Amino acid sequence: MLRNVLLAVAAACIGVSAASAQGAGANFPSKPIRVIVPFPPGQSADIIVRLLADKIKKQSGATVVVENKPGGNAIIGASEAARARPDGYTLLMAGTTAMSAAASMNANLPYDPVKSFTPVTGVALNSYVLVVKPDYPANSVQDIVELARKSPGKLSFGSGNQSSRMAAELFKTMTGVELLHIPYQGTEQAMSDLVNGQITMMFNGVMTSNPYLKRKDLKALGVSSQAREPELPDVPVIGDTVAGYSFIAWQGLVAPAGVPRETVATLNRLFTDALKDGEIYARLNGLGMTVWPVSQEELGKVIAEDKVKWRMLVTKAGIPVVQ
Amino acid sequence: MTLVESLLAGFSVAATPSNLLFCLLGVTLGTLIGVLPGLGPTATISLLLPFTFGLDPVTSLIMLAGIYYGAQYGGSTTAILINLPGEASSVVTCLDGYQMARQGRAGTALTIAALGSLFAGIVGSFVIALWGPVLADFARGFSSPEYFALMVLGLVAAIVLAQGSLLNAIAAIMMGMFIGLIGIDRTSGVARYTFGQPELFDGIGFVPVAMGVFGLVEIAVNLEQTQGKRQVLSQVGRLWLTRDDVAKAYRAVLRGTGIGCLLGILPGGGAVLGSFASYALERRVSRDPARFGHGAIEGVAGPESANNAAAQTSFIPLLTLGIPSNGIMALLMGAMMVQGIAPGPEVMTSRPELFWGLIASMLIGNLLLVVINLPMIGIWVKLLHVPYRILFPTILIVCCVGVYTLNNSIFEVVVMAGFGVFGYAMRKSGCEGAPFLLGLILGPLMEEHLRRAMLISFGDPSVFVTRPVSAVLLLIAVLLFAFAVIPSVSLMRAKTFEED
Amino acid sequence: MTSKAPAAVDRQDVLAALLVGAVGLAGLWFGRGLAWGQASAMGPGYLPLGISWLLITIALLLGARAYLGPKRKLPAMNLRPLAVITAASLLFGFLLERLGLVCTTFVVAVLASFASADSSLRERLVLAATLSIASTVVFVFLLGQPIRLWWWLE
Repeated sequence: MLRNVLLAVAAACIGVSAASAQGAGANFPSKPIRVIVPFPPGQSADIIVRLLADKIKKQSGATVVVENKPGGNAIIGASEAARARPDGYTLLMAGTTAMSAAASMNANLPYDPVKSFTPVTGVALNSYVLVVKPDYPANSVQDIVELARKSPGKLSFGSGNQSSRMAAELFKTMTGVELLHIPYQGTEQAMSDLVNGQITMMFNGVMTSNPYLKRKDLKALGVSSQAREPELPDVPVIGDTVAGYSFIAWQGLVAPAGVPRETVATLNRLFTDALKDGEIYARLNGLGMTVWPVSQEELGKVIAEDKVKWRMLVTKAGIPVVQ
Repeated sequence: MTLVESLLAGFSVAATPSNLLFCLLGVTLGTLIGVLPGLGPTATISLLLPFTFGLDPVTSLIMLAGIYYGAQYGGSTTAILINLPGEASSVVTCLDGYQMARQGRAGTALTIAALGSLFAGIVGSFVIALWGPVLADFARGFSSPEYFALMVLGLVAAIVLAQGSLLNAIAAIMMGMFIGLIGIDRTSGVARYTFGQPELFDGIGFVPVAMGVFGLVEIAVNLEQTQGKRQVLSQVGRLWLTRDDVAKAYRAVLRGTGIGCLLGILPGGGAVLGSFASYALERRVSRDPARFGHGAIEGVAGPESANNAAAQTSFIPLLTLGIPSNGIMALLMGAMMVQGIAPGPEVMTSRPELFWGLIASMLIGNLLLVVINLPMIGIWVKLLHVPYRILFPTILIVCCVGVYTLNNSIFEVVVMAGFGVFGYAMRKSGCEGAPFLLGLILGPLMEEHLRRAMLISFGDPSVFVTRPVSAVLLLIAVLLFAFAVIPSVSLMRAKTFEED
Repeated sequence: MTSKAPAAVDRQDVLAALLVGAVGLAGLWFGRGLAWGQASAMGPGYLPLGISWLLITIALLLGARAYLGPKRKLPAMNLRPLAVITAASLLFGFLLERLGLVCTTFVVAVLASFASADSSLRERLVLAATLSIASTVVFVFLLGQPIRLWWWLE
């Protein structure tokens, strides 16, 4: 008797969920899509999502709401997204911090960047540029490497966030030089100390560096991407000197694991359409980022590759893992 | 162009009907969120950011800036009325502002806060216009040794502003510093006292602690004294200032404005230090320091002027160097960059309408704030007529919702409740909340700069005395500490002998 | 507390010593795994452990002063309001994401009002309802905060 009731209830549930899944495929989205941003309001990830929400509303009428869940180096927001119902109505504004950095620097992460999420779409890319003071006696990546070899541990690099640090740690491991790491809480103070000559060099986002480069407060030695940056056509690629070097921070949208394929496809189309819009392209460029409207598969590939690459780096650089 | 011509050009931009409207909108919204504890200008500005992209860059900047300095205005209201500092910079306003309210002088306190802020805001705006670039260069010379020295000075100021025993004040500061160090250590990446909780990785937030230590404790103490029967703060008293008030306050306003203008330029904690430093200074120069903590009008006039002056001059690094000095400035920088304007020294020459328009709008905005706020004072003060049994559940609900909306986090509400209990124990054992909170803010900053300065100097501590600015600041700190300690030690000895 | 014989110790200082000492000891115990490092490269434990030791020293000084200094009693204490206020805040945290803002503020305001005995039931209910509506209007409708209003809404 009880078993029959349970079976009936289960069947009803399956029926309902199947119906709702079907409904989702046909007229998704039928209610607002919530995007969890694991940062406080005002950071670039937050601004991008708000810009996209605005554009999507205009393009397709769908409502996207932003919910800031900052804290714990993006771990809090990402955990909540991983636990959410996989119906496509909850997304996470993921990126290097929530995925690559968190996974490689925490022993007990409440989620797995690959297994807990379904990739939806890439959003933006941010490459780094190696900058020094204009009067510093190095005019190329090669010069820096030689100077660092001559006096190991005397040259220092600053970092205002984990990605910037990782770009430098990767440089250290690949060239085998010893550099002193000076950590900062945010980029501004680090830039100011760099201009003042307190620290030797820094890997910094292209756009935040650009104003400094334009007024010759700093000089650029190389960019971290695989090809030259359109913003900095005269700056060579670091990979030309250090074979195989490339480092790019990314931002992308993911959903909890288990979202139906067609829903993901709909979401991907919704967001990539907005990203391909000329206005969004210009706004993101203004913030120092390149739009990155790619398929869910390509985002998934990057997340998986990053996980391996960062873990290797953290081990090699001897960065303590949070227990 | 002369200053007058530039300013006139600025007014022609700022005084167009739409810019005036958005300025009014910004300062009104700023006042509202400043009055509500928890929800701060950062959250509000970023919520509004997407809507401003459709506006002209100048208009959007005028409105967003208005929210920021408007919030500084509003912040003093709850501090004075119900002993609830909504932001770090209004902690010191609680000390004498709330006492004034208890004596029926809430109107006077609110009026001097508004007028002091108006004066400071106007002076601050002129400082940006006249000496912006010079001051920015001065601030740029600050590196970790200077910041460390500044933090030490701030902590010594916290000792000076404490009421009771010196030992209790130091204990409160040290406990605050300790709590401030909880979280992932940015230098090494090691988790400290987090017990594996990601909520603790970024440390314990200022707002929930302040709400617990000030807001909740105040409710508990009021209720245990009165059982909720008495109407607390029932007298209204006069709203306007007496001749005596003006005589006492105007020097404090001048000094507070000066300190605020100077410290506001410095990134990270500059504005907060401004209000604390102003209070400590007022107490030091006062002929009757015993009045402080018991409703001294200088204790409201100085810090309130300082924090509003600092709010204006914190624009200097952004406008003249393109370096944002705090989170809100970073947000405004983002807003400018999205509009295709690269903030920096060029802005003054390439987009003069933007620079001067913004400055003119600050002058207008500060006037508007006083026009909005002065009539409101009467209404605020009437709120104190509400019986406490009605008022306290309201305060509690506002605290809870306000703390939650900060990060949409339940954890922060729990932190507030926990620090309510901790704060109650502190209050009963004679440790004050203000030095505790200053320790909480300055502790982690001091550690960061100390460790970085030592890293950069390869472990040579002489950097703190060979760099002139750092040496001077440390010297002032030592002198101030000596002045605070000597009378207190001799007093204690005298008391001990009396007992024997 | 007897009022005639002077107390042997200053109770306020004793309470302060206990509080400060507890924070210091907790800092040492829970921070026992943190590395000190040296002055040139301070470890994550340098400041927290240093401050913990300082707190313990201050606690001892406070304890000494309790015996040597003037003898004060503890200020009057009544823990009921504190307990109710704390419970109400915790209840708010527990209920908000389960019940939604409207019901939570109502329940919490009713509970909180019992921190004061001087109120009629009708007044408590009216006040709670008013606060519930007001917080919804101000925080959700005016300021656009993303707070769930009812338990069935996402």
